[in-house]
Amino acid sequence: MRRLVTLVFVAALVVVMAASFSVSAAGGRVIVMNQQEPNMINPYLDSMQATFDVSQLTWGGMLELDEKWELIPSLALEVPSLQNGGISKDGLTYTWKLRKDVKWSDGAPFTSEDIKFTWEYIMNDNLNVVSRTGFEEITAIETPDKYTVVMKLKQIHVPMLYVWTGPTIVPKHILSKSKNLNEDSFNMNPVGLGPYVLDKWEHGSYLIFKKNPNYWRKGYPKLDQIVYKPIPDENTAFTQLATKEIDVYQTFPTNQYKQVKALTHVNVTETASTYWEHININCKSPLLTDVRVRQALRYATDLKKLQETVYEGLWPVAVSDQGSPFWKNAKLKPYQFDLKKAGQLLDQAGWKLGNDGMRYKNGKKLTLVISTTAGRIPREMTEQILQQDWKKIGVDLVIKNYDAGKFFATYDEGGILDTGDYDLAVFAWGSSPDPDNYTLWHSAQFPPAGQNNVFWSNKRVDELIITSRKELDVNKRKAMIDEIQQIMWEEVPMIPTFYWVNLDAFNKNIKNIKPNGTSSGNLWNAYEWELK
Amino acid sequence: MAEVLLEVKNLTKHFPITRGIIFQKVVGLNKAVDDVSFEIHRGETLGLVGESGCGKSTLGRTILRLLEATSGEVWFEGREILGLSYHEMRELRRDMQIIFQDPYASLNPRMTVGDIIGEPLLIHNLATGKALEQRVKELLNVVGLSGQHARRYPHEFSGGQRQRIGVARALAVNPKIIICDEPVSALDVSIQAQVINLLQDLQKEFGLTYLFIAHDLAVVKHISDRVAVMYLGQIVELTTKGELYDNPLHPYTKALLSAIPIPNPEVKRDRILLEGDVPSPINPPPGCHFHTRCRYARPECSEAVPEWKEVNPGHFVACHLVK
Amino acid sequence: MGRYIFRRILQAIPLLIIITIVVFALMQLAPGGPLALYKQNPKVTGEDLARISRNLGLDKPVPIQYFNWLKRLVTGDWGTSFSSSRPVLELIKERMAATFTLMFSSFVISLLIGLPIGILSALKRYSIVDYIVTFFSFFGLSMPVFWFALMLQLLFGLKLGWLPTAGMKDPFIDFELWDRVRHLILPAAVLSLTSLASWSRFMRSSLLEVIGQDYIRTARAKGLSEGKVIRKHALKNALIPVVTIIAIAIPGLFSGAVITETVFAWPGMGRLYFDSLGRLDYPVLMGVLTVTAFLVVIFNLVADIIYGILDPRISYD
Repeated sequence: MRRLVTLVFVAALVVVMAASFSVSAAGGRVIVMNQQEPNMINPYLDSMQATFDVSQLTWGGMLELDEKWELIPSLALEVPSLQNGGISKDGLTYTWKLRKDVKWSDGAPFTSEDIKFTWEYIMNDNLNVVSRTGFEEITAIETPDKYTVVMKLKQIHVPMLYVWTGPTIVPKHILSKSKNLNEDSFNMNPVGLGPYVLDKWEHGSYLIFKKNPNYWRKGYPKLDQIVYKPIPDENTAFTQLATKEIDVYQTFPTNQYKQVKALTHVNVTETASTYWEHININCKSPLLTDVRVRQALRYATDLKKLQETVYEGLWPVAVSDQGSPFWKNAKLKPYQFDLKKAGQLLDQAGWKLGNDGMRYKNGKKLTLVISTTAGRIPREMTEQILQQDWKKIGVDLVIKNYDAGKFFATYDEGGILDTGDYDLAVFAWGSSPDPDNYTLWHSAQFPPAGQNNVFWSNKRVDELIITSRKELDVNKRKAMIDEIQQIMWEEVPMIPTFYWVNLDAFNKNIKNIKPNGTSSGNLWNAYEWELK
Repeated sequence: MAEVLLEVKNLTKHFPITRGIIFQKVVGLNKAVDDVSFEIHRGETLGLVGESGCGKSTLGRTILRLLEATSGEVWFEGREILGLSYHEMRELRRDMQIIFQDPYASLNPRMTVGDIIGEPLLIHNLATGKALEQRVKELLNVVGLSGQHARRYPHEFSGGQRQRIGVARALAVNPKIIICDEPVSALDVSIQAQVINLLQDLQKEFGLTYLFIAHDLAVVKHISDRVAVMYLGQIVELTTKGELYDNPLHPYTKALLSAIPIPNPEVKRDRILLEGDVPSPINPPPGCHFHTRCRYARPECSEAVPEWKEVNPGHFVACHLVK
Repeated sequence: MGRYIFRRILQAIPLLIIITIVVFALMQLAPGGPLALYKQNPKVTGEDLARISRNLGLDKPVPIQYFNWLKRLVTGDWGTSFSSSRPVLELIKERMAATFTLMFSSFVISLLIGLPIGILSALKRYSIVDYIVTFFSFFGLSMPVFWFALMLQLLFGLKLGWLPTAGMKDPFIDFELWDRVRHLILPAAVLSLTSLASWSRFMRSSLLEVIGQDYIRTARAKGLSEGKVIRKHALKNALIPVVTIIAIAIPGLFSGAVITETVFAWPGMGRLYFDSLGRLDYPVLMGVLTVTAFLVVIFNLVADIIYGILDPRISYD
């Protein structure tokens, strides 16, 4: 009897081992991991990166944003510009020339009607579109022929090209028949213009994409299959990468950097992102209305120390809200960490050192409240370092953190940022490659109207934002954006701290990886991916 | 005098007191039963009296090997039973039964009365099938219940009825001796007499021998032929019922007797009140265990253990004062 | 019995309604709201938020929102998810099988391992075996699930390479029993850990209590063999409270599944709940919580019924 048990046990063991060896990846497929599962495959109705990623695989756009943050033509034959006549001299008319012989994944022809329909689709009030920014500037779209699109604008809107970049076009022949656009099955399994189509979606497990047989780039895509696999837990994701159960580990946390680097079968890429970390300064707070106080705080922020201790030295120091190599004001330097200077500025502002080493003005102590989303360890560490350093200049910093839901909630929901219930707040914004930050800095955009939750208003900046939005000459616009950055550098409505760096790990056997730090994501050129 | 049915010689049961979680160290002994000797004759009822915690129930259970003795001997019908094998002992259980104090706790709540009474018959291959059913019915009748009660569960009965079920169960295997471990203490006074009368009737009918354990002398007086008085693990006095009640020798026996309420208010008696609590059996007082509460105690009482001696024929006592 | 069950089910309906009211209210009290997610996009304007809020029905007063939800529920419509615009019932249905597979396996594991070691531990009380079992039970009860899961993943996934570290199936195998079992082993082991440990404790203490009862002595005095005393008398009685506690604890496995499913990327309802919580996707949260409340009510009823069957002292009419 005992011998029989042993035999059965050994047999079971052999089967387990044999089975584990048989699971080796066959040719032509790549498994991409992301922390979250996409909600759907429609980037208009959901703002998650995962949703954007899978839309990149299946949808198409007239332009694409490449890994150098530059616009390149995709379904349009060229990028419209003043020079090639694609943009009229007054900036109010855009003319697009489309590629011919492009087919939707179901074989139907792609025409200018689809572009026009896309705009109508977005402007449909019953659709739960996350943002209509840009689309609202269009007054009419004409389609003189099947492959020409003419857009008429209300006013000059420079970021118009970005509106049509990446996964943007929806099929008229499918959605014009839809009864309920929000709940249409298209959102889960779209007919698209991208290199892949959804083969199978096991909800909660993975999405399998297969080649789009009607893809317009001949000979592409190279891979037979792409599997998109959500794994919420970071440790699990790392283990899966190590066991080769996934090939791509997207945006892993900095604290796993050494661990992931140590795996011999993967390449780690560090890609500059459009996200920038900063400290909001609430200019509405009576303690912070004086610009000298804000400057003092910026001088007392030791970015070098934060970079080393919090971000493993990986994230570059930020100087402004512009991360793009082109739009960043190259003349600006980060404030040098200087506690003495910070102290002097506070003295000038009337905050005198008391016997207890803290600063007082009219008997009132300089106590500031700093907030962030509880549980984000790098941000909590940042707060603690600031608390220690600022104590040295007599600033009493109180840490009061909130659940992310409360912190980012809307004005009506009583959000900490939008109601201005803070002095300083640590978080990040993700910008688009276009430098327009109207909703963040224009004085008409105080919540609930917009997202100017530093409550900062500056006449000159308001003016520059408005005029720069209408300036078609890139160089002239660049000068205006530079000036905005210059003013913000002096006025300090917020302290820019770091540009995010995306850490991604790719199995070494994948060729043509071009990680993209913009919202285009790493999958923007998945049609080119190939196995060695 | 009838033949000896059960003889207990120097029976001792110590419970070790341990400390420590994994490596246990014995730090003391609970001397529940300490060097006890006596005999029971066929057909008689020996009463065993003592306060709660004196070790009388432990003594009863140790005799039946429901607890394993630390040392000593128990002879039953000429056989030493502490040394019997597990299987031999199981056979012997036919002859030695027990009735417990708590009629609520001593019956398995998930078995019908019929199963409870019938189980011993099955175990000892005494009856099966129809015969078993018949026998169960008989037994129920014998204890004053109806045969239809067999299908019910214990919780459907009153305390007195349950104790009758307990008696029927003990009776089922035709035992020679039944140890009655305070069988009526948990019952209402009005029911106590009924159960005691039942036990007496059964004794006559089936020629049973009882070891009747109780904590007060009043109950024991009614049923016993001889009475043993126990204090802190030891028997301090043993004699016939008449002798004990008329001529108690041990101060402890005297104290217990004085506590019995007298139905006739004319009769006056000095009540001897026992002072203090019963000492812990874990570290019983040296010498005579009773000396801490004895109003006659002399220096020697705390030094030497009193000898167990036969003062009059059949009257045994352990006390320095009794010469 | 039949009438009793019917009456209990009728009573459960107002109870469930009250639970959903409380849960709905609690969700409203949770900081922030479903729109907070969109706010992290600088392109989103106040106008956009107002439009989304209107489309999702969030502009209406909370009691009206609840009432609308209930009204739809009665007609079998569990609402649509805010984030994916898919019917909640569909979302729950596609996750249910995964969660029940996981829950059922850990239930079986806990039962088949937990109860025997509890019994062993009680029978060998204060022996080395008992101390070892006790030590591991407390170890199991106090061990952080995340850590235990990670250790198993590293050992069986990375080091030994025997088992997959996450997921429910290999994407490229359609259905194969062995593939499913391989994926199930680690999460089921992790999920059963706590219940295994606590059930073995219940079993131990319950059996110890019964063994001290007079009727066990009675059984021994009858001349029953020790094995029969334990099986026939002790275990049967000791199992009554254990079975009830277990029946009530089954929905508790579900809450444990939230963490386990997240760690092992298991496509169950727990993970759906976790994901939806991050986005305050009210309709999905309400759906999952209603299912949970339903399970709790049902299993309480089951516990009572089992109790009635096992214990002749209890009768329902």
